[in-house]
Amino acid sequence: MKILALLLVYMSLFSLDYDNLLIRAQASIFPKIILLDKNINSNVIDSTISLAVIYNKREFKEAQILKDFIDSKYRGVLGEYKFQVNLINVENFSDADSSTAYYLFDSSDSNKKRVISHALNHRRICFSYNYKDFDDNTLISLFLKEKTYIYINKSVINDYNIKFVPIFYNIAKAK
Amino acid sequence: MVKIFLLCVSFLTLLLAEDSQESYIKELQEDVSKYSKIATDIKQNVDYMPYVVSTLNSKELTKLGVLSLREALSLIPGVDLSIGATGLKNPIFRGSNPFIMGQSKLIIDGVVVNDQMYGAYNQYLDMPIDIIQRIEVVRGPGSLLSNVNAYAGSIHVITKANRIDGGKKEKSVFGIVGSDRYAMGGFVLSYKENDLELNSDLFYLEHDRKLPAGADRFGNSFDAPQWLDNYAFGLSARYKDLYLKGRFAKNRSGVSYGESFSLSEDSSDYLDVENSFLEIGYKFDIYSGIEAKISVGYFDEHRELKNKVMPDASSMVTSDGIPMRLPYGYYFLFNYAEQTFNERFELKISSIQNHNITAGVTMSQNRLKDNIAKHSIDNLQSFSQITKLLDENHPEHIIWYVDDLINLNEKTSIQLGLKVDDLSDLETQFSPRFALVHRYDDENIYKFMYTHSYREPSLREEYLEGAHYFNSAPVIQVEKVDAYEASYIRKMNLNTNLEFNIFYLRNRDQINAENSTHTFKNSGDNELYGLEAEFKTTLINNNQLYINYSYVEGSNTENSLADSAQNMAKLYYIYKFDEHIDLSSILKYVGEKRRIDGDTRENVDDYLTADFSVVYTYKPYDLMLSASLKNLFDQKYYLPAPNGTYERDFQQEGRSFLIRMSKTF
Repeated sequence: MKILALLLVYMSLFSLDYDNLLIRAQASIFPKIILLDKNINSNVIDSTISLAVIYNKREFKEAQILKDFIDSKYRGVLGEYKFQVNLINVENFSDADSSTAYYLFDSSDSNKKRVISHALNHRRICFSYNYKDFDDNTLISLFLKEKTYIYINKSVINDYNIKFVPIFYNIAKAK
Repeated sequence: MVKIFLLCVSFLTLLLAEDSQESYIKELQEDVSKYSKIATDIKQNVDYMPYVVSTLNSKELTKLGVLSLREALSLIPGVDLSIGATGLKNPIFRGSNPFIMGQSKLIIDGVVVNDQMYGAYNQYLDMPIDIIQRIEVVRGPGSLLSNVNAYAGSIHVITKANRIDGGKKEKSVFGIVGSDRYAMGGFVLSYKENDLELNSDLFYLEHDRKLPAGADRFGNSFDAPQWLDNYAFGLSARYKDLYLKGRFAKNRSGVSYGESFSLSEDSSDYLDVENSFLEIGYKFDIYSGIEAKISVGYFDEHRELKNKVMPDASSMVTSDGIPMRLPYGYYFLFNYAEQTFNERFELKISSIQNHNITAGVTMSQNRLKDNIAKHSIDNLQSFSQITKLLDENHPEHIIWYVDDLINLNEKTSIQLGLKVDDLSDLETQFSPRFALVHRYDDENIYKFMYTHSYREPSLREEYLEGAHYFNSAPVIQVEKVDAYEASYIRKMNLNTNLEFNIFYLRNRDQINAENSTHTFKNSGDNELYGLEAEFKTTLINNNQLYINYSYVEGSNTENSLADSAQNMAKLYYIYKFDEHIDLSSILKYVGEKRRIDGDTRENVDDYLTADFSVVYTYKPYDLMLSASLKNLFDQKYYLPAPNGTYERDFQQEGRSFLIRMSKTF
């Protein structure tokens, strides 16, 4: 039992070392997924799609990297919409936030769960860096294996009540 | 009318929306394919692929205070070092044949740089980490490149100048000073304008290291000169689908333990190695999903040695059996140069669903440009013999290869490969490979691999004629291996991996010169088997822990696992002290080494070394400053001296320090 407890303590010390390539792939792919939401217009304000990258103190560097990748790739335009990426410190997250979609690096922080609930309740896509965060109800993630997989969280897809264009379900993999 | 108009507008809007959605889907699929390809190219997804690979990246190595490619390789499980003539260090994989070079291949930016003469690449081992982006080490004969015959292992170095992951190219300057008057400086440059990309690196390093040695074959004991002057220039250019890459290097070093395993009384002795390679290639799409590549390459190497191989007042017996006294000792010199041209045509086919096929042909032509050995017994006043160093060379080599990675489903992939080597002076060789990877889920991955491979004897082993110490046998066969490997990877989270490998190697016709006449010949078959375990994780605050253990049993000579450690363990830890400072430590344990049959010396002692580094990074100016202490506890440790050469083994470096600075632009 002691060994198990020690192991648990040890496991709790794990943290994520963010993978630059995975961040780049997500920066390129996730915005396009936003466009595949059939009801996107209901979450767009002033013809602007806004992606909120939620970070905590430890994640600011990665958040900035993600934003830089997205900004340099999309240059403020996504499809027929204007596009902006906002970095939001999770401690400053407001329940009135009206971003079109959210991105989380790590959902273990209790404040982040608030963001996920907000996204879920307002039918907004919530991406996560790590598909393991599906346990905390994020909706979409991406993983590099022998191929690149877009994972969609099958346990909450109905709760989010977001309808993607049908072909997206052939590309993404329910997990 | 209005209703019809509105209906038409709605219909058109719907059509346009569908069109744009189709284009988004297409872009999405292209992105998915693009990142799959990058991940495969840079081995990011290698845990899910049919290879046993360890990857080291420059960022991590810099934090560990690792200086050179050689030092980085010492972190890989199952990799040990041996020392050959003139002190040339040679990585040994899984205990396999430590008595010759060339059982492992070094591939720099996709170009094999082993020479024909020795099969060696040791001249590249001092390459500084500062110009390297990533090192991928494959244990076993399954190379990551379809056209390369690895035997015991292969090392792929991707330089910053040839970074292919689409990441930001680096511009940096670096400098290092340390013990033994070690001084090194260099830069990495990159330039991009529209479709034109130019990258290059350059470094110069020197040190005047010497290590105590003896007693040699003549009873002499003094310091072995291991000084080094080394510079290299790397270049990479790309314009659209056309590329050029090359590397030009020169090494001048002391003769260390001597060409004939005797210490030299002449401090002006040297070994010069100049080599360069250049490859020009063009990639183009024949059809969607069928990419062709044509390349031509040039490799040359020039070696020049001056070495007093027997001391004053020694004596020898001539080939006629006449005893001879040598009042001025005996000098051996050679001047050798080889040139290789190669041409390659390769197809990569991804248009067949779930297949990734690589097929091609490589043709190479080799010639000797210089091939002279000189012997002097009158203090270089004249030469008693001027002969050819080699009596022949390997004139031509054609490799046909095909390799198909088949993703049967999301869980299972297999790889089928075949290489056919048509060698102008040896039998045609067939090298099949079969690998299976089963991804039980994203966290549990099982692999099984079978590879048959061979190693062509080096020119030294096959055609040596005019050397002083070594000889070659009139008939020699290629070395062959049948390798069976199995691997289990447990991914505990995105940054925590636990990996176990077991292997069984059936080696045939192993070559060594461990006999009374120092003649390279096939000395029989043997078997090696063992395991490797690796654990890597990122702890809280981005601290990193890595530990590996390797064990090998069996034999690499007739009855013994000689000159190679049975047990090895390596560990490193990077502690992020604060935003600017990283502290790191490397511990390496290398177990006891047995001797070859007939060598009555005690086994080579095991040893444990510890390195410690402090790295200061100042992000606003992209400045890095580090200080490292190598072999912190000044552990005296040895690498084995071949039987019948030195009485004691080769003592290695004691405690040393390094101070390093780099600035990225």
